[in-house]
Amino acid sequence: MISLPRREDFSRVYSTPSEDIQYPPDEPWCEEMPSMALSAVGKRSSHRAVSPNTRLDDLADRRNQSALISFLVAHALRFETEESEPVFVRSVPIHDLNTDAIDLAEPIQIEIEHYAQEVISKVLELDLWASESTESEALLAIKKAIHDLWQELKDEPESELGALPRMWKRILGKKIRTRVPA
Amino acid sequence: MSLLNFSKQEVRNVLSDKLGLVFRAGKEGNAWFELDGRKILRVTMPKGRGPLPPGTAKAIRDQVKLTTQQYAELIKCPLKGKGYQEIIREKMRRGLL
Repeated sequence: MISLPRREDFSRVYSTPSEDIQYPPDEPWCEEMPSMALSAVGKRSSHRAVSPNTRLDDLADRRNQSALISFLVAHALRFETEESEPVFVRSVPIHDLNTDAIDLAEPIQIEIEHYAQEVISKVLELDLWASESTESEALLAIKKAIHDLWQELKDEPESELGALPRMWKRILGKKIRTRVPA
Repeated sequence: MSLLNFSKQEVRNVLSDKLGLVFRAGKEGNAWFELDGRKILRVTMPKGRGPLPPGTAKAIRDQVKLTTQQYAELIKCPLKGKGYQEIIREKMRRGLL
């Protein structure tokens, strides 16, 4: 968890004169509700009201913008570092399933979600996921999950599959090919 | 997110009892949810004990196609197996599954 900056840190780091902002009395402003801090930021020389709907461009005063950006960044960081939300998300293609028997005819896109305790790899279109402690392990695990799903589906009669598994089978049928021995 | 805060045993037991899932051996067991003799959904459940990490909990909730609220109700009891089947049938009628 990243703490919001205290009044003195805020002033020092972001060069915002503290006297221009009306902080809540006797309390670090970072402890207050966002609306209160936003309204404090709004009580600036421009006398424009700042609300959650205020567009950044609407704030003509550059120092106002600086204060608002700092506030929003600090809050975004706090939300992103909540344990229950991914800290970092990215998407990578895989080109191989780490098995001798089958190969990929075309890459599969993997979503990687980094959490505080784990890294989740997902193939959204196939409803597949794997959890490991590092990104490379999570990638290896999702390759195995794709392989396992294909093994379960490839010989399954379509009449015994619902709409989703039928779609997964079609997708994997296009993406997976048997590896030809050298 | 506290609505997703359950232990592995709790979730595994509920999915087995209410949805009839039979998890296979392996680091992460997979099981099919079947309806009217067809395989409809595939759920992955980690082995072991202890709390489900948040990313894993969300992934399982997504696989069973429930909202966070419905998922919590499924694990905590108000939503029974029959109720879950109705939710899935409704999604199938709407062409979502």
